[in-house]
Amino acid sequence: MNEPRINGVGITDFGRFPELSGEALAQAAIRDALADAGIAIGEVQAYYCGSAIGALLTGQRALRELNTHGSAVYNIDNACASGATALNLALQALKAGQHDTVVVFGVDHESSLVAGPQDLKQGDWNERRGMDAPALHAMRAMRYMRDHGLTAATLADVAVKNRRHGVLNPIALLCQQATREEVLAAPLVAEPLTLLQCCPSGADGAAALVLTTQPGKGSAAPIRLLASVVLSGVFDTGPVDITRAELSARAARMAYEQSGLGPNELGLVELCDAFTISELLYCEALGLCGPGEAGGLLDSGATALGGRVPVNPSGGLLAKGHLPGATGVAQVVEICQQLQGRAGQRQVEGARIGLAQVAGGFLWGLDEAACAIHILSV
Amino acid sequence: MDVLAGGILVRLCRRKAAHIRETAWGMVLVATRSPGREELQFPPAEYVHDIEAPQNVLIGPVGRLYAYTVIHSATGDEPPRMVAMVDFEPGVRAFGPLLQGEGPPEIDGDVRVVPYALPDGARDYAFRVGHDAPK
Repeated sequence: MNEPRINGVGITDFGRFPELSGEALAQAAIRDALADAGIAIGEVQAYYCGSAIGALLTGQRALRELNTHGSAVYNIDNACASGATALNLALQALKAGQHDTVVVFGVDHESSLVAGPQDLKQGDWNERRGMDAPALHAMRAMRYMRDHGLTAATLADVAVKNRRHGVLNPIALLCQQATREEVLAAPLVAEPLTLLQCCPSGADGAAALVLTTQPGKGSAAPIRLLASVVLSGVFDTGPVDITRAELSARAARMAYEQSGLGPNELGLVELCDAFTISELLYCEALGLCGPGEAGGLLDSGATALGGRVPVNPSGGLLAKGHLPGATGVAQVVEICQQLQGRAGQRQVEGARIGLAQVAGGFLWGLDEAACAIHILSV
Repeated sequence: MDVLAGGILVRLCRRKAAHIRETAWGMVLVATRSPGREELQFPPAEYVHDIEAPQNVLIGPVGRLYAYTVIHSATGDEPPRMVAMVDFEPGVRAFGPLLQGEGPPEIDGDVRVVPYALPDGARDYAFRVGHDAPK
């Protein structure tokens, strides 16, 4: 059996489209990916749909008008890692020989929902007592600042960097450049996080990938998947260190082991910067630097475009918004485009290997619920 | 109630014990320790499987403020509110609202469990800055 590869990618604009449905956006991304792969929809044997905040049967609702002839549809909800989990499952099916060509797509339509942080889970113990995603990350930031001397200015610089990247990304419609002073002066959401340090809420978008074991028919180089890991958080109500991102660190170790690579060999990283502090914690969890060193790594310019290992060259979630279903797939689309040399103004020169990390979903007893990491190469 | 699990009849029931308790030294939280396990759990176990009930362990009334934040409403219609993670001996963490006390909150400083009400009016707990009982 041939090695499964990504032969086509598709992505819609990420913005607020109340006049469109999530299904319509998903169809656009799928058509885009099929055209990129140079295949017809009739060649696809199964669809893996990541969606976390939509209604039931998101995949079937998106696909019914694309004339898919009743192909298998898998709907996957795994919080922020939904789309990336769909990719993991699709890869397993290809490796098992169950299918030879599949489509992975992720979609969510937040503008049709109530604005602001999404509920964690109705009835969750902590949520009933005032927990939400910004509050949790703000507490991580407070503790990290205390433990490692991180300044508010450096924390704000994560948003400055990713917004600087995002304005180079034509799909990041919600992104506007901001200075450190503007980030710090924005309205407070949960101290120390200001509004410009939180990913924009109410975004809509979709992304899709064609995976196949068949010879490529598209014009771009096929992309290899060197590692694909999905893990869950460990139940622990003890005094854990919430600045450690234990789940992502554990998943990263497994991904490096699968790929035979290490963090020093990465050319770029797309990670889950739902909040500024998230990027710093995940840089450490991925081994890009040591504990407490992420602020210095940012200050050095290593994670900016032109640096040693650009982090979130797409602008990340801070620029695009965070759609739990689509984010993981969109990250992989970005890495594919970067590795294929078609990322336009935000191109990371000479990138050969990229890593995508997404994590989230907070329930009491779990620091984070789900994490997925993929390592890709040309 | 009795339920079948893998063909075996087991007992499944909901714990009735409250997660807070008033004592002579103030309000404390009630954690649980499941049979055969060392670590404590808070919030306490909600369901008891089979006949071995978890042990109730009182924690507090004073804990150490591990992390906190001040949440601001998007509309500005509501006053800012604080929430916190608090560590208690012998090794359990609780989350809840944080109230002003003797001074501003300080990470690694003392906080005390005090009575509070959930938004729906249910009797609950919060943390107050400082270790002394409220006057």
